[in-house]
Amino acid sequence: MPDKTITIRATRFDPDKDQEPRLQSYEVPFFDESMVVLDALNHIKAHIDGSLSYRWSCRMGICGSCGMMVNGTPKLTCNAFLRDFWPRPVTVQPLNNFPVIRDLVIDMDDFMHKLKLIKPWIIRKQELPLGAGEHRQTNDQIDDFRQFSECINCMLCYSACPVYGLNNEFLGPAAIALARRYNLDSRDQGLKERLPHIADSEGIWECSFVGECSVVCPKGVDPAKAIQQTKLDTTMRFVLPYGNRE
Amino acid sequence: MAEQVRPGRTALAHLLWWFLFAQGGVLAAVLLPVHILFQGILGPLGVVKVVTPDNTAILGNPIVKLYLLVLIAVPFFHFAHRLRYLLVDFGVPAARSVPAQVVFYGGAILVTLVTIYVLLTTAPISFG
Amino acid sequence: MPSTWWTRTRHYFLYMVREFTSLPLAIWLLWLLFDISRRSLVAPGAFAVFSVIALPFALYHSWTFLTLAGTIIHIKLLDRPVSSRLIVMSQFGLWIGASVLIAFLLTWLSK
Repeated sequence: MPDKTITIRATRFDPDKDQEPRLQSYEVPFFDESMVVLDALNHIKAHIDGSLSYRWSCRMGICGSCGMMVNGTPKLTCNAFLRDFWPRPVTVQPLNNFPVIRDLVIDMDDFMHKLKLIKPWIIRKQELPLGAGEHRQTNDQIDDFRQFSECINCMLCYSACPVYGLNNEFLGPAAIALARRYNLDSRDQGLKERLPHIADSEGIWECSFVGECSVVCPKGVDPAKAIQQTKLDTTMRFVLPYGNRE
Repeated sequence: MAEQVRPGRTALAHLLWWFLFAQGGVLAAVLLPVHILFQGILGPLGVVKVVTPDNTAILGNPIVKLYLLVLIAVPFFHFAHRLRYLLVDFGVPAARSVPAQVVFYGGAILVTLVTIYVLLTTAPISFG
Repeated sequence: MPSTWWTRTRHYFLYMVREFTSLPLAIWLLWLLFDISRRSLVAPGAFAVFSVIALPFALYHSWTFLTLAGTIIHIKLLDRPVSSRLIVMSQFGLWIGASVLIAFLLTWLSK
């Protein structure tokens, strides 16, 4: 029986040589039903064309490194099974809405900048002295923010978001979801510090609830929900200054 | 790129537009379909007898006037917000600018004022 | 980003439809206001035709808006978060209740 293969069409772009990105086709042996697009890319790099450039690390959906457009949808390539595409070709392109550095590698500076802006760490007005022990939290308190803490910073949501695509200033789904993760954390007292960036004219208000960010999120963070809840909470803080606050 | 200057303060105007958008959206969602069905389709086609705009007794009632004001004016802030961002989605970044906000939300304010005027002048206030 | 981005997936397209519903509904309300200002149904045939077109848009707006309200509203009752399903059901309950009441008033008050 002839060996099964699958065609991978990957973006090639060398900024020193090429004017424009182009697609290059590779035939990859498809010998195991558990193979993912990342396996195909690794095969290409190891056996066919060592010049192909792409990011990857854990290959198990937790590091967030291997996000790329797979047949037009932002996916973690370690989570995109070849069996779902075979026998048709799989087109792998760099994540939408980010500048391309080379081949499938994108420039993530904008995201890193926005992540730092929202201060994704516990902010205390006053640190507890060591002798007071650790911050105690009930399971219910953790449940308040647990979902939003699942973010692996893979940026698929930014690729999916048309608001970000049309306006690079937009703070974006992951940054807002992570801001909410900390604002809801009972150990955190930093909401006032995050609010000016979340609620400015390039923040939550620019989101028009397309919802595609939550559709593509590989960890079920539901950033769309985080953003809408932030809109409501921010508004209520102004309408009822002494009412329900976080 | 890493040192972009960001607004960095709560955008109160945007908060207000969003709040009105949300209120208007609820009203439009909850009230409009039944009005369209009865006053727009079943009534004019004669299927059911429905209150019509020539009914000055009903139109004169101040509670009715208040209801009509809420029904018509508040959803317009919802429409203004949505249509402004629809333009943005179609690739018109100018729709995010302050002049565009003036046009769209000013338009909703204008509709509110016209509605008040019509409701006050079309049928005298009566408690009949 | 190409300006035809919203044709790329069904989800994007339905989002644009949802946003677009504002236009026919705005026109319908303005038409109603106009008829009120004239104290008569100025063009009942045309109004009926336009209403037939506007109604599905209104229903789509209601359906999407009230469903999404479950995402945005998060409240706690006795320290337990209220499930989003319950919140959505209460929104639809409100919609049905208000519609029944208004339908009744619109017909009963015409006598």
